[in-house]
Amino acid sequence: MRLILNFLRCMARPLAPRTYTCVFVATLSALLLLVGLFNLCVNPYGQYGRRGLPPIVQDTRTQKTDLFNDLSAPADGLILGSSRSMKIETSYLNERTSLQFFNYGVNHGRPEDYVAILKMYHAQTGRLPKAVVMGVDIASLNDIVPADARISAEPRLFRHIQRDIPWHEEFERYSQLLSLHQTKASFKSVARFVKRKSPEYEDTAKEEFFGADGVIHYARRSMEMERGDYDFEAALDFNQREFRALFSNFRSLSPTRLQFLRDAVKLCTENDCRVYLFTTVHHPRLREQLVAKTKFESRESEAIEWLQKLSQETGARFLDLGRIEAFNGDPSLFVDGIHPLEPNTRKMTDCLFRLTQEHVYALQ
Amino acid sequence: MLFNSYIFLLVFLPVILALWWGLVRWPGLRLASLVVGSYLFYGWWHWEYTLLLLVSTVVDYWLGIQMAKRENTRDRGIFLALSVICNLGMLGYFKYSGFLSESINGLLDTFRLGTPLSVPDILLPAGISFYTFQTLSYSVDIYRGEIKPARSLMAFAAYVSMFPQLIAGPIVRYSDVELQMRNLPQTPEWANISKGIWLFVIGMSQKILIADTVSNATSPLLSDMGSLQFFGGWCALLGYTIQLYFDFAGYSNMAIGLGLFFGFHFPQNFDSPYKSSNIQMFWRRWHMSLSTFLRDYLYIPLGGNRYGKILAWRNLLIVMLLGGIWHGAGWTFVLWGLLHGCLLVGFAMTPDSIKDRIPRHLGVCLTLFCVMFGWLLFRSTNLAMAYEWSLAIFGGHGIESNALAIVKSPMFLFPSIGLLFCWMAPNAERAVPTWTPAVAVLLAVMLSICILRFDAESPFLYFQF
Repeated sequence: MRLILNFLRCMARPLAPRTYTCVFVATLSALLLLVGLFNLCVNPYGQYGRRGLPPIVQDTRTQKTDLFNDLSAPADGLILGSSRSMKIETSYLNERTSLQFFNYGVNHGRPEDYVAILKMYHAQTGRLPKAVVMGVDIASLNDIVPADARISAEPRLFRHIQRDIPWHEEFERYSQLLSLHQTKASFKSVARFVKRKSPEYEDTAKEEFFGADGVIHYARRSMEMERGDYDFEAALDFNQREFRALFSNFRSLSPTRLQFLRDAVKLCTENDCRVYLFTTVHHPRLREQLVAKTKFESRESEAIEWLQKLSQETGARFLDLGRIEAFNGDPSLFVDGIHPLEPNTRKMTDCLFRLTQEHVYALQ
Repeated sequence: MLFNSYIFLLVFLPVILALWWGLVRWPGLRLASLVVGSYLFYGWWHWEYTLLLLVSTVVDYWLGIQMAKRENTRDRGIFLALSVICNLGMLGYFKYSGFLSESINGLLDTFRLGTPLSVPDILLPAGISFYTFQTLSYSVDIYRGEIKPARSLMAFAAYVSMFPQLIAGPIVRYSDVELQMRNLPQTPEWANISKGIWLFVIGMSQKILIADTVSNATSPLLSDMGSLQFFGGWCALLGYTIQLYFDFAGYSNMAIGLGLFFGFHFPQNFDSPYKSSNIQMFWRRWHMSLSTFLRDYLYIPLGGNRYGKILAWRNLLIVMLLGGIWHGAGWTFVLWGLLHGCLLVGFAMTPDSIKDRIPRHLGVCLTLFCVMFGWLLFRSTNLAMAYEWSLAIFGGHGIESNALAIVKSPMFLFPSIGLLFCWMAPNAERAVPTWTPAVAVLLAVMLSICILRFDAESPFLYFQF
């Protein structure tokens, strides 16, 4: 009791301004160090190398790289892109082209990911694949969001692009150690670690998984869709908020990201690898919102113009599939505002590979 | 660069402070480090606009020297006119050319007078309204013989570009810092630094913990004006009223606090304006550096109240109208300025016997109501939005059936708590605590919480002006 009283008395004792400033700076530094170390140790997003606790997000870069390495022979074709390209079926592409494809779409996939994956492929096999399908998200061509930190936690990919990542993005990654969302995620990760022993955890954790060919399977959502209790509106609403925030700050295309994309495409076309570029689709209702409330249309037209030029310059095939009308898609076949289901991705594939027989022979 | 960003607080500020206090033996280098730092701070998003800052600085520095050399008022007037043309021309081009073209096109379209003009798509350089006013005040003060020109271009550049107040004020006049610039502090004044910490942390908390929280709760209401009804309209309005105050007052407190870290004293910018019991008092407490600027450089030169009541009222209207236009290029700002002009004239016309009879609390509520209605215009992106919102708050769109749920929700609770803060809490400048370990720890905890929320980038509202 006396100790507490003494402590309280001590805390209420006036200090000289200099000592007071030192106490403030020391306390602030200690608090920030504590939070930073906690987040570094838990590493909930797997951004800072190896981690001991269960991830709260999918480490798709690591998972896909593991799956790719498990293939009996390197795939002849790669599908690159973000989660929005993860539903492009390799089996359907195999039928169309007679090439074995692997879906290397990764969460928040951006042009730097494509370069890293292609360079890794080249380093492992001494060549490039015969064909690459690249799904370009307009939203990925911005300067606002840094390179997805999870790529830097995957050394098999990161070493191929490390020197091209701007310093401020690296700073951004480490400064995230002091962010609220990361701290929340760390607590969530610790909570999951504690709960992991209970058997129901395993069931709920497997919400999504990848096949051996890298294609995603929405276990939980498929079940809910079959039962008819899937909340599409909530998912769409989430996308609307996320994309409106993103596009309202998206003032111009990022020169760094465009350079990465150019590098990726050139790397392929200069090594006899055919490239099929397309812009990924938005659900018509999301698109309508973005057009009305953000500068989406301007960024989209700039990106399309740039991609068309790139296509002419490199010989890559480019199609704008951003609207469902472009491939006669069905708006009811979406998981949310940005992720189309198989019937739609098949139609997209049909458009993209509407090839002459010569093209097919050339591919083979 | 934002004050509420990791790069500013963890890298920029420690480095620039270390340079400032580490180079005390070399005053020139000290000022140079402050100028380079401030240009880096300003050019973080668009480095091209630092050229504007540079041009404005060099031109006004040179014009100031030329004015000081001349005894003849007419000769000095020529250089003053050049300064006015240069500063207002720059402001006019970057801020108003789009608005002007759109307005002319509206007229052309209405009267079918010909092909519309092309509307320039110009990105407004952050803080241009603030630093052009500062350089303008410098030229006018030299013209009036109230100050001497800056000792060197570097000293003047440091005054214009000083990063704490560069983007959103307070508008610092050269006379405010002239002596401070001539006698730069040689050792850190710890009492000032302690007060600076207090103001900086309070300002950061006002911005992040109050303004942003209230904004998150209420701004979604404005995303669909068609469905906005009575309670929603009021919640949105109260929310914006609180957000704007804490956002801007927070920035000003941070700026004043940062100034103290470097040994500079900037003028107070807010003095609990929502406690004002009349509109005149409100303008003496809200954005005080702008109010005094408009008074000294516009109202008084127009004649002030020296030529009778009618001309004084006219002058008030002109000053507030121009003050409205200064805030933004749009008809809503014109209306906002006119509204405040009319309110001030109305207040001036009211006999003292009536003013004295209004109870203080009623006066506070009436003033707040008028100010809030002004914020409705201020926040609206166009007249149609202002019209829809006005309809909603007067019940034109109907009243929500779930009124009780709204009252219990954050969209009402958060702004209400914010308003109580405004009414009950003392002003940060006056409520400086005793420097105890408890206060130091409390402020450190508050700043840590704010830093954790830096991940949601949130620029200050006044950056757009």
